[in-house]
Amino acid sequence: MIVNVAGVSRRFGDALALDGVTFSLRENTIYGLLGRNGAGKTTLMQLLTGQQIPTAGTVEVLGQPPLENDAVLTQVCFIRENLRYPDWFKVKHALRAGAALFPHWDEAFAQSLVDDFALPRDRPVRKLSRGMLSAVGVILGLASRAPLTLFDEPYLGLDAVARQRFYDHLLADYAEHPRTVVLSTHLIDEVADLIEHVLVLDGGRLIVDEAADALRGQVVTVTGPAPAVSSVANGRVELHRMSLGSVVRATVRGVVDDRARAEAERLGAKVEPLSLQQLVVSLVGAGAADAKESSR
Amino acid sequence: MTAVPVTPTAAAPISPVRRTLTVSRVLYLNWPMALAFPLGIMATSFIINILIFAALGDAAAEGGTGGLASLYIVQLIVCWQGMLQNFAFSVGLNVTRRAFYAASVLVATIQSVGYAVFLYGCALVERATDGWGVHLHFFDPLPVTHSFSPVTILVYAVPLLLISFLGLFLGAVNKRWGSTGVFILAIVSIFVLGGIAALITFLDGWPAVGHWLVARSWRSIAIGWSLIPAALAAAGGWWVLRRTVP
Repeated sequence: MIVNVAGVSRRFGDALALDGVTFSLRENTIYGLLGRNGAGKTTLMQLLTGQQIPTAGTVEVLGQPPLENDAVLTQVCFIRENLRYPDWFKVKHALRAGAALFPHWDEAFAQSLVDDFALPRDRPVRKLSRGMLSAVGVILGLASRAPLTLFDEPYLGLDAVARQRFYDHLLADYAEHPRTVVLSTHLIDEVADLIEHVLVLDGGRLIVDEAADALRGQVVTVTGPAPAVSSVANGRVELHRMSLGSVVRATVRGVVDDRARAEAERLGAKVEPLSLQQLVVSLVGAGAADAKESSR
Repeated sequence: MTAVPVTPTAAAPISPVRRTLTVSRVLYLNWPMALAFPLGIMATSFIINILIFAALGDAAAEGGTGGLASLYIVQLIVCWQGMLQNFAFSVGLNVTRRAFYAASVLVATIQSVGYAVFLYGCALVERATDGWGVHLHFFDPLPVTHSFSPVTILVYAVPLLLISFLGLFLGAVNKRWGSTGVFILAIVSIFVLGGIAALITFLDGWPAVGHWLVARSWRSIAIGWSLIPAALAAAGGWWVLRRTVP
């Protein structure tokens, strides 16, 4: 395991940004860290990089606490959306900084990425468009080849074409140089094919920590007459239900095996898997409903 | 192609000295810009002084000007702003606060000594040319700089160091608590310094303070005694930065 997080909480005044989070990250895997704004994604990444200090619990990266630890932190690259560059930096200075700071830096790869994203090397970073600024961050993150690379939505400023280019480069480079990558994003469906393992934070709590493939089969929508839908929903967790006349559509969590599926279809219902994005939305929505329930 | 995993099994130790040098290189990546402002502004001040003294001609008294202060003021701002911006970038990219601060202190020290040597050289030229031909004491304005031994370099360097560390400290306060923090610090400082002055007045202590100052040479104040607040500012900067989030 490259990362071990145990019982980590982080409190800011009255707000509990993270609440008893426990998980591990394996070597050479691409993780998706998903959740709404304010769910605690950035705080979690800051804890992994020693930028924040946990209120409770322990964080270990490469077997050691990351706080003020050069040995650990030179192996970690954390690119956040609002990374600030000094005013006097040009694009080429940002690249030189990356080359100096990251021991696994690949200069040739960095230069090819600069060409591919059509970045002007001599332009001051503060004069770049939002898309170009995002591209600088993405290039730093990719070319660092850090064994643990964290992307906190730095691709937000990129347009759809540039984002696809980023995903393609990430996947191609990952195939040649496997490492642990954590992508935090709202654009869940875009990264669904990249992600091997899903972590979902909701209100500071980790509500999903599962392999993407396993998760995909776990939540389905069942559409059809009420008795047929209930045949699937019974004994599983029903996350959401709506009805239109006699037709009911329910979102259900729990493995639906072939027998259950056949039974539902015999009764006239259709069982469909959810896209990763719909799945996360339904789980996060259910979490919010649970929280409301328990606070009553 | 065979895949080459980059993940090490455990973190290998890193020499703190090497890391500090690496980070200082990052702080100085755009070194022409880092030098252009302090030297450019001082040069401007120098040229204006030359023009004024030349215009005054013989009417000008043999004298010094405060023009050199421009370098010290700019250095304060450079360190302050440098701390704000470099911290967000470097620590944002996972440089440890310790390595970052050590590198900042190292760069400020090299700058201070470098400028001091440069000023000393200029002062030698100034002396040899009878004040640039116009009796101007720009680089050598105080009695304390008049003695021309290389020790004079320290007379320039240590106050610069004090100013630089003060800039780093203010930058750290600014980064951690925002401009509110700087204003509160200003209020507290005025209160404390004013309080000390009031206390000295109340105790009729000014003559004693005067005696203390007179008993020490200018040189010992500029070199030796300036080191105390410089060290305090450097330590204060670290104390503030230790828990600052980029």
